[in-house]
Amino acid sequence: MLTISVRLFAQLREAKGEETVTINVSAGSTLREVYEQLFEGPLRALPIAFARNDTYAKPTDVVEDGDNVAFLPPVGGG
Amino acid sequence: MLGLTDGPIDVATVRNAVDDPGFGAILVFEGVARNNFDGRRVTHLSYEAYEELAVPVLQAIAKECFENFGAKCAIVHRTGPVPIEDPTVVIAVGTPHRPACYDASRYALEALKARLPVWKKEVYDDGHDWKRNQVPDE
Repeated sequence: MLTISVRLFAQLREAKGEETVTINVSAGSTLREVYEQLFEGPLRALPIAFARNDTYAKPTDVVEDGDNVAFLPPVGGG
Repeated sequence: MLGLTDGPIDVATVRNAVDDPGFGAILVFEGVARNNFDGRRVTHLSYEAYEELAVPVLQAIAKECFENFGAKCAIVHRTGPVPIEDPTVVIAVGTPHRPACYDASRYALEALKARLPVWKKEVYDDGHDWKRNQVPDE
């Protein structure tokens, strides 16, 4: 198992009640798989963007132990 | 000047950041907190941002404004609670001539709405919504 930190924003943060959660995931997990481990229902269906260690990443990127990942719901700036 | 602030945006400071003796045109766009949406009264807005990614995105948009339009660009987006009528984002662009200035201003705004990792909470008397920007290619 790996331990990673997950940063959440907007409705994802509200759903978990925390800005950052620390979770254990299986070795070889992709960002998309980690997201689906954390969220279900309507939140799982959102078009999410992913970041890994403060850089945009692909949903298929594999996480490593100690990673800081972030899930970005659809943006609303302006 | 490209960044976020959790207090009121000083519009004049953003505008002055694009001063250049070679510019014949400067445009300042203000996005402003509106008091209604779809018939519901909005009490205020609240923004949150992924700052570590937002600043590089603003830098990329400014670079594109220069490469595409020869424009100098300053952008400040507010975070946290924003009262009605306050600016939520200020975009200043300067160019030698006016056509490119209008184009660059619109480009910067649309790029920001599509890409900037910032989230808007619209707060009503009886609840709130996280607003998703409409992106042209969706």
